[in-house]
Amino acid sequence: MNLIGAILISLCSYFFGALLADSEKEKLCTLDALDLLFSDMQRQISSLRTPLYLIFGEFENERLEALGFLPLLRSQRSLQPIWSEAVALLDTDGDIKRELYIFGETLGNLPLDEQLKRIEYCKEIISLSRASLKKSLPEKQKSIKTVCLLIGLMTAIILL
Amino acid sequence: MNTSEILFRYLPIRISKALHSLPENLLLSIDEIRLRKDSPISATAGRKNLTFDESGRACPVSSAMCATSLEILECVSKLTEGSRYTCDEFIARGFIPLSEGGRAGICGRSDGRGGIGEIYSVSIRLHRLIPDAAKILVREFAERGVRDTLVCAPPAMGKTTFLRSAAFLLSRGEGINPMRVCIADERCEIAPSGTLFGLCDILSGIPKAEAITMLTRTMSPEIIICDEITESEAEAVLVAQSTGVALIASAHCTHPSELIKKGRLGRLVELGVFSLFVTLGDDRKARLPELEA
Repeated sequence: MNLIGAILISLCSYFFGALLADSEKEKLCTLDALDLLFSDMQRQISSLRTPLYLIFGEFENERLEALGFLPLLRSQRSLQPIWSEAVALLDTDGDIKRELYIFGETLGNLPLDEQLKRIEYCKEIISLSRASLKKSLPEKQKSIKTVCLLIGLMTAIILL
Repeated sequence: MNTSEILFRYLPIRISKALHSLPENLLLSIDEIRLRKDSPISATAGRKNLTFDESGRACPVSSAMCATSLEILECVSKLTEGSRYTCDEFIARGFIPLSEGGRAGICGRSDGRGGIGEIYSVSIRLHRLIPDAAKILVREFAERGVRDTLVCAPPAMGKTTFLRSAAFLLSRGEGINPMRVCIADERCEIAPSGTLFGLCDILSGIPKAEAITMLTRTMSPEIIICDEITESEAEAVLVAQSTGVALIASAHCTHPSELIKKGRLGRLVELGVFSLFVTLGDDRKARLPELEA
């Protein structure tokens, strides 16, 4: 009976670790989605000067939809009041969120060239963060799983 | 949508609330509202400038409600539908067209590249279609034939409303045979929605001289209508006239004789380009004065 309990605790810890590792992967998915969104904004604004409400209205991305980011941005035309709320829904790191908050302060209130520069800057930050997360992801996922499994094993040993 | 609803759509909530408290008849007669950074907000009804406090009571300028820079920013954001870059060219020329008609004039600091960086003032000006405003002109055309016409009035006396009505009546053939009317609408004021529902073609957002030339060459109009003509459009007007196109234009002055005295529109008046003049008085009624020799 004790042995079965110990195995169960270890397995639960391992799966918990796997879930945590997956959430890291989801962060990467969010950064991928943001990168696509910023590329779309850059393209639409520089070539067609599409208003932001149309860009957000027409952009399709499952991840940003699921997080509630896009639905919130589509809820009203003036972005200033809701941009920060939408960013808060993202599961990205604090640094990226901080940059996105700053970006939102002037979003839609700048002339073309300045707006494009801000988008380019934000896009670069996202790309850098994305590249570094992508690089460290397998290692990070492995260590999360290992640590969780070890915690589970130790708990099982103590309980035994 | 009435005029006050249009105003409320673009104004920050605090200013809308104050305006909402104004007497209804006054609110409906407002043609323009002006927001100035850290300075009094004013409304214009006819020729009267009105300042008010936060509770919507008329008050002297010294105690009038002021707009903050954030409110100016919010107003510009609403005017540009949250995407200022879509209006860069217009902003560089000092205005933002409103989708319902009319324009918001803007003032601010140059960005050093021919545009406006920080915006200090916004003046939202509303326009209405009063179909009968130019009836007197259409009747004159119907009786004595179409002629080059200059509409003279001081600012905010209804020149654009008159031109819009003339375009509407002439292109729909109200009291006259329908005519091909083209509008050189540089500031997107005469027909901001792009239609007047008659035989009317509208070229918006292009400098008047260029627009008159383009319309003459490509649209074979019978009449060209344009707002606030100046000496710099003289060449284009003369070319249009030589091809038999009639022009209906407007100019800032109380009487056509003033233009001659001050030498404004010199060449056009001297050459007798305009053979019919319309004046608009304080009552906004159109009159056809005889020009003294």
